[in-house]
Amino acid sequence: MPYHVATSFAEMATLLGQAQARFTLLAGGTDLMVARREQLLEAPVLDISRVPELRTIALEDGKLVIGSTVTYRQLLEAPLVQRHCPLLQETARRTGSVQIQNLGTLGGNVVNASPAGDSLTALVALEAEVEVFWQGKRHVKPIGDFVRGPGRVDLPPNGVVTRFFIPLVEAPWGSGFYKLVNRAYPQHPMAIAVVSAAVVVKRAPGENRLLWARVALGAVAPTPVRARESEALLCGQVPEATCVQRAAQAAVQAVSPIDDVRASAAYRRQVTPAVVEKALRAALEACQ
Amino acid sequence: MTALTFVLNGRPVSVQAPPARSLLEVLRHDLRCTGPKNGCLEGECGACSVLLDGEPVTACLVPVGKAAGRDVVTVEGLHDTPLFHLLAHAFAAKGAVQCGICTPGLVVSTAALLKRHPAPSRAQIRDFLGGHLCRCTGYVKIVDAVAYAAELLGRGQLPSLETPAGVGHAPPRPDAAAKIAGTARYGDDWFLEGMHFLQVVRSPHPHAAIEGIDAAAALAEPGVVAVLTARDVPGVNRFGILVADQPVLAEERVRFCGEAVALVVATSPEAAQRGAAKVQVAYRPLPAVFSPAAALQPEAPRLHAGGNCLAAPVVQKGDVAAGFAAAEVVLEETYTTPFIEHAYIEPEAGVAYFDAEGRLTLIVSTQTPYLDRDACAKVLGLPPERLRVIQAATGGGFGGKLDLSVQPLLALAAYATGKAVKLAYRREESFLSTTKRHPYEVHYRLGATRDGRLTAVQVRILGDTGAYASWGPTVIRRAVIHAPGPYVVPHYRGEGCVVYTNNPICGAMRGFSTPQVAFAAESQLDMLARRLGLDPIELRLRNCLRPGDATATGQVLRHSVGLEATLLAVRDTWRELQKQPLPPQEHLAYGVGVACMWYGIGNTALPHPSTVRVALDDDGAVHLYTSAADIGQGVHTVLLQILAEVLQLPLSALRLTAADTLLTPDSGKTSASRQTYVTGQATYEAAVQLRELLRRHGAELLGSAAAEVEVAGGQVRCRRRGTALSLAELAAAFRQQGVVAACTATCDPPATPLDAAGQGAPYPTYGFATHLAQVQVDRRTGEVRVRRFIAAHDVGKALNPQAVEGQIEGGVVMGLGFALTEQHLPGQTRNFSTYLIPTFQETPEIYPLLVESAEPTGPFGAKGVGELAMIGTAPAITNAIYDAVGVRIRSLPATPEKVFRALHGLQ
Ligand SMILES: Cc1cc2nc3c(=O)[nH]c(=O)nc-3n(C[C@H](O)[C@H](O)[C@H](O)COP(=O)(O)OP(=O)(O)OC[C@H]3O[C@@H](n4cnc5c(N)ncnc54)[C@H](O)[C@@H]3O)c2cc1C
Ligand code: FES
Ligand code: FES
Repeated sequence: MPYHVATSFAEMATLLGQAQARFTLLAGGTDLMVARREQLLEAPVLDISRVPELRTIALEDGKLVIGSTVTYRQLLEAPLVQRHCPLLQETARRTGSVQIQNLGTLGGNVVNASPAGDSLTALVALEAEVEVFWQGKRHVKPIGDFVRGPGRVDLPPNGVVTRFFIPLVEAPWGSGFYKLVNRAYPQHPMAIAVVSAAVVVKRAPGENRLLWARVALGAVAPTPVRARESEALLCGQVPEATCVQRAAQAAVQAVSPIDDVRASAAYRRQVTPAVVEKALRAALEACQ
Repeated sequence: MTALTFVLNGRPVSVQAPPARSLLEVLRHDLRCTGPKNGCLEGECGACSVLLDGEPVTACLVPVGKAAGRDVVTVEGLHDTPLFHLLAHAFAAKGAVQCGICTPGLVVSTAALLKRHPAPSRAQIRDFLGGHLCRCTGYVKIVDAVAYAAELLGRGQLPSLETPAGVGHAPPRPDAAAKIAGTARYGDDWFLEGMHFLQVVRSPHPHAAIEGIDAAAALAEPGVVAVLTARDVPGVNRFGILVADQPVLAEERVRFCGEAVALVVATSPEAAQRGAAKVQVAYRPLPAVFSPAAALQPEAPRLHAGGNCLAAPVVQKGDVAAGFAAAEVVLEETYTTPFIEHAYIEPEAGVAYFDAEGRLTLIVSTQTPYLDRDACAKVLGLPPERLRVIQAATGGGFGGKLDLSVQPLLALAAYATGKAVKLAYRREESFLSTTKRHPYEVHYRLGATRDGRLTAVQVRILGDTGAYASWGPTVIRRAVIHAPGPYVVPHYRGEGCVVYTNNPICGAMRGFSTPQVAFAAESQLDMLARRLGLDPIELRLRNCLRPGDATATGQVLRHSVGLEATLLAVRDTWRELQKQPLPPQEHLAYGVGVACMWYGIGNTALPHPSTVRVALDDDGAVHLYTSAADIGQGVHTVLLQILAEVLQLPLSALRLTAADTLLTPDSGKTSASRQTYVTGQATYEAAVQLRELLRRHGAELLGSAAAEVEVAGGQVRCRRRGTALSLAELAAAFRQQGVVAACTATCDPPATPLDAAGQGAPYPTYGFATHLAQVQVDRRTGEVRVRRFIAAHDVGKALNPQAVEGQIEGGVVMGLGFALTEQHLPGQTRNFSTYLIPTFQETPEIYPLLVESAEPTGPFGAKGVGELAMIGTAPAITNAIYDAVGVRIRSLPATPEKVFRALHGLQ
């Protein structure tokens, strides 16, 4: 079966435009090579990891723009990401291994749409937008609409995710992430989250009051979800201990977990507040 | 298929391969570049790591199409670099290599690490290498090696690797260089002319009748050469260590999910897979049982003719009723442990072929070449001499490679087709089809006086042995013997029972079930200490076995009982940690726990002879022949050290031929921590014989009295006259005179059979240890982290202290997995993302302390250590969890969820 490596956007667009069959898009391959090794041998594959535009990180119109095939490694090394979006560095650091970080991409994590996807969870907290290129046109939609269910995204055949837009937040703000795993080392990267939380908070300048907070939860619902009740309890408040605890507690209202090989639904529900609190505290600490 | 071109190790290569095939498979299979290893094919183990445009990636996740036009460097491509020599030196010198299957990948990643961070911290090393799994070393020595390499890099010079070779030193392993370079050949690294490939058709049912097998569609598949079934087995279609009850290929019935039913032979691995998918097996599902309790019910399906209880040994000493009557405190609890997978990083693999003399030869990953040979001979109905088994480099065993896996299938396929054949299990197949550690339910009742003296122990153990017997009877027997712990227990009754079920087969795994019973025993002692307000070390000191005491089987221990010394060795740390416990931070609590263990060295109540031969080669080198399998633990190094010590020779003057049934005498299996002790003693005796022979003949030739002559430094020398003959000259003289300078020695340390009450002396000697763990527990989530670990072991004599430490570190880390993360759930855990073995980051700082209480029947006082290192680990950790947060974990593993539930009084 053919395996095309697109080296420019134009080449990618042409190939997708002429395609008779549906391409399997391959970025880092770290999900595909595990889940669909056999099928890959049978389907035409389009490797998009070498399209320069998709590998670019830039600032545009008050947004951080990250190409879909930007790798974890690139995220960890990019000064723009460090400055404007340390949350994605935190999730990249908590993802897999050096080898996985060298291969795996942000777009792959989103399109794979695992309920436990770490960077996907972060993008939900960041209110990122997803740009999709399909039939010669670009469409932008909120990440929450793009991800539909476990492994399901709103992407037409031969559509490709090209970029993510992350709105910049004016200081003072902070972000935090916590990944609870079944390993004897907290937040171990080589493990799938049992429960995770990504939090972004925005403080009123010169005050202790929070203007808003965004809390996203991973591995507790069919997709990463926002904990709106927690957010409401933080909005406009001075985040002292009881407020933080109450907000963390409220996160359980957003969850609909399942039992699986890693943990029971009940446990996931029970530890959600603790996980949210850890991420929230980290975000508050970083808030300046 | 178009040709794909990329640069491999500096040279352009072109391959015809489907572009979506993994770079790893293309490298290994199409390009025969076998430095990158296949440990999982899922990106989880790191063994396949290569540099892609200079950065480490897991080659198993890279479609080769992605590599087109790019630069790929495997460990082979580093060979000519100065950095490689430095890494090779550091890995060998620091003892970072055991089985070595993980090593080439680590070397590749380390090269990239040192480029990015020339002087990394230990934490940076752990983080950077975090995607590499090693099941042997416990990671400590790898971190040491990388830190040392960085230091050497800074210094810019390479010290010599010349280290003394004798006993008590740590010369580099003889196989280190090849393992580091990636040139050692493991089971899957052998490629033979015209070789065919095998794929096993396995049962999807836990229990079913086979109503028919239709191979027509499979045989029509291009490339498929043969489909073999039970009917093609020429000899006895049964194997098993103690009870031969397992068919090579199922006959009328399958008894577990994953049982081999048919075997496809084809010209390529892909054709074999396609063929296997087309073999039609008609199954009629039968009622199945999945727990020992259910299998013991009268209405349960009978899995074997003799009933579902495979073995039910008893050990009975004194009168437990009287013992409990005398007790002032009685504690009674039930403990459970799960199936545990060996999870060596090398899945089972090997090749088979007929050699020029028509001998069916197997080169396989194994712990026991002779048992493999004899079992395969029975299956084929051939005399054993018609077969030859050679151990391939073996990427870890831990008991799992004591059982047959690929061996009879390879033998059968080669025999049936006359072709050279290869079979390498995928990781998933290894999880599915090979043996596990027995899950146990241990009911433990213990009585003691108020001042903490044990009066009675009564234990009932119910074990799930799965579908076939494997090592089940030995495992349960060892469990009832060891369950009372290394203590003086005047009244004891232990009853065990292992039961057939439709679960995976349970066999031998490091510790032969003593880790399960030690978990129960040491938890009980911890509870007793708390109940009595005694410190747990003091309580153990009051009860521990000392020379002159009798064990629960009535065996009086005379020598080498160093338990007390191990307790004293950790007591200071214990006290220190009590005095200054770490400050609790918010939700984090800290605790310290201790546990002791004991382990009888060698087969239980059975003979276990080892034979070796030591000969003077024509060029004056001394040559050791032994079938002892080195599975990473380093027995070959230690045997050569013994030779070096006795004959006063450097390692470079020694030669080794090992683990080949044609060329080496039977040194027994690599199990029960017996190789250093038993084969070591045989080597010692053979070496002494050879030394005496050299002295006698040397004296004659020198015209001196034998008493004046010594063997040292490669010479036979007369002390009085200063005259000398080199060993090469001596060898030449022997050739002329027709003297055979070869000595064979057999050692079989005494063990007596047990009587009906389980009384007797089942082992010639025992190893002892005390473990101490410091843990951190998160009260709000149940997450546990082990911060610090101290392992004091009585090893008799550390013939190679570095190797002993390596065994201890590796064992502790395996025990950590047993304690906290590992559980095989049949049907659910099939890879390293669902079955979690410990990683670099999870490994705490480990401090091995060596106690040497000499064992007179072992070489230079040594006894075994291999399995012992993990036995006390889990209870030390769970006792520390209790100390931290006051919850008692009675069922392993202590996952965050379990700890959390216990903390919150749920279930
Ligand atoms: C050992 C290991 C550890 C891991 N650890 C973690 C972890 O800790 N946390 C975590 O979240 N994940 C983890 N993963 C999963 C995986 O690495 C990530 O999800 C990664 O980001 C996937 O990216 P990729 O580029 O490799 O995806 P690919 O495998 O290339 O693609 C994944 C899916 O996305 C589609 N796709 C990719 N890019 C696009 C695009 N631009 N447009 C449209 N469709 C696209 C593909 O067709 C495919 O369906 C791990 C995986 C492995 C093997
Ligand atoms: S074989 Fe590639 S990571 Fe295990
Ligand atoms: S030495 Fe690392 S897996 Fe054996």
